[in-house]
Amino acid sequence: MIDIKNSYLLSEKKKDLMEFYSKNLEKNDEIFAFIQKPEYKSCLENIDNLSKTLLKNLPVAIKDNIAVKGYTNSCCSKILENYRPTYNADVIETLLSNGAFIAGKTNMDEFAMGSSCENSCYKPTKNPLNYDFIPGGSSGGSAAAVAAGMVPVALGSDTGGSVRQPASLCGIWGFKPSWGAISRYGLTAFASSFDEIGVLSSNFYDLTVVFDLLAHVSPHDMTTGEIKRNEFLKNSMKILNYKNSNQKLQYLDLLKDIKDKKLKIGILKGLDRYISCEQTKNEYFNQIEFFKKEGHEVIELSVSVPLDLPLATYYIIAPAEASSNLARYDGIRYGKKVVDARRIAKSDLFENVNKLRSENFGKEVLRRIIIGNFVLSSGYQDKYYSKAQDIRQYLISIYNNFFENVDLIFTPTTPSYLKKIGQQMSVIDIYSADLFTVTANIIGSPAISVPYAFNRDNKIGIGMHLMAKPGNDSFLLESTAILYNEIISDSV
Amino acid sequence: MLNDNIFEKLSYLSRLDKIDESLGNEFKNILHFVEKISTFNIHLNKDLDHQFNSNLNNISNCNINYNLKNIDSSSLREDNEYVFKEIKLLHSNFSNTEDDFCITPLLLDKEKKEDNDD
Repeated sequence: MIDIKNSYLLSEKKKDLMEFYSKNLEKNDEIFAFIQKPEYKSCLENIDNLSKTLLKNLPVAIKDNIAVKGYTNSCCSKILENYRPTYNADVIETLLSNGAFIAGKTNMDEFAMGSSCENSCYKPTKNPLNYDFIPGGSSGGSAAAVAAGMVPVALGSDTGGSVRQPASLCGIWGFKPSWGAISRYGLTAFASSFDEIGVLSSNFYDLTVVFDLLAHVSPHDMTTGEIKRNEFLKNSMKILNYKNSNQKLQYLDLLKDIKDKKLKIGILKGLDRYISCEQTKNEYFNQIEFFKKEGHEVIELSVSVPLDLPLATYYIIAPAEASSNLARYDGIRYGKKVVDARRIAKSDLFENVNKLRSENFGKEVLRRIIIGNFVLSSGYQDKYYSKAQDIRQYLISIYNNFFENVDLIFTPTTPSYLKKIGQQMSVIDIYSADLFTVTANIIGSPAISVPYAFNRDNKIGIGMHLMAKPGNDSFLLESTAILYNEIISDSV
Repeated sequence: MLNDNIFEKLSYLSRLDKIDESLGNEFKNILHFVEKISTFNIHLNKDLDHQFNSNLNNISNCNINYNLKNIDSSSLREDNEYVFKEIKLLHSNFSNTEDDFCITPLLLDKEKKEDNDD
């Protein structure tokens, strides 16, 4: 029986899976995961004659802030409406050269600012698990496309939790690699020192393979670096190249080989005070007990700073970088053009620029631009921006210290974020959805959201979150396979 | 404490028409939330944290003695005169009046055409 959790890459029935994805595209009319409904006709026609490429037409959904030649790249903003890039992002080139099929562009919060996928210039995306609720964000369209069974894999971007948080709410896997592991060339910049392209998938194996392909040094992005590849990652990839053998069995053997390894898992003292959903809290504690029962060492870490300090730090540095990155959208040097600058008087020119920006940026983007300009402005920069940078360094030191003693840090992905579409919430409550995810962006470490449970009342996903030392991406993936061996084996 | 004309200043810096009351109130709420970092003392906290043994020497300006030198605004790109001249110069390089979109693709197209011509 076909299920969204099935691995496309390991499956011998790719045609059946492709028909399954194609049929599920009907749901897009209701969910609005894709901005334009994809078409799998050409994929299905070629399915019996698959190329010798590695990914064999794997359909991948792409967040609307990653450049794909021939597709609009609006970042779901009016200011970039109808913008079509003339080049492919590095990640798109890699996917295409390995035989993936770009299914289409997905809905998102404008310029990746938001955590509900409601801040889109089009319309909100619905959570496939319960249409009354948001799918999370900002990569909500990508998460919904995977959770609805329209694609097995999607790409998103993660600046403060924008891959992991929607993955959690939609009940799928969401992985944010170390900062610099994947090239950001072709990703529309939001907050460059936090931005990272991440992978969402309904299947752990497919996620692992796509990440492995995307993680390489790029001449287009000087911030990329080579990650350490362990045997688990290398062997996962090798399985795809095995000929005349049952790849599923090979992968199950690999999972069995690592199953008994033991890990040191760090948990943060006092974290439970911040988890407002009772079920999430219970699942979190049950999981800790399970880890102990399985023979892993669980170590309580005392964080000497308030647990919401990283969030406050993030909401100073990220808007500061965003205000700078978004300054280019003036309708002249970049963005929707409203005036012909050659024929306009100086006084009218700036009036037109201000008008264009006020009318074409959404409210959340305006909030962050204003905050960013404030914390960078003369008289306030030292109090806010410089101080936040110092605290960022301090947090990096604290967490490096932790990773001397533990392999991983374990939390839920969100404290509780059950928001109905259109429901009014305070800005701070919405920002607090990122409480457990922002630290990974601040220190640049890899982190994954595991689809662990579903809310009993409304069926929304509850994810668990693992974070490792920066650069230890393959170790984090192996550790996830150790801790969630049964869930992963069941979906092979 | 915010200056009286803070929203006027911010709308100028952000290149916006104006900041309305609702946006202004949300700005204040966010500022209230992030305020906790300005009172957080890294060195005091580090001394109280017995688990912490890293060297903090590489952290500059921790909570003290920030460099408060003024910035010469005339040297910044946000200077109106500079931006205006730059924009005129940019646009003088283009003949495409039909395109209602941004410069970068036009530049790329132009370079491509020149490459093809060569």
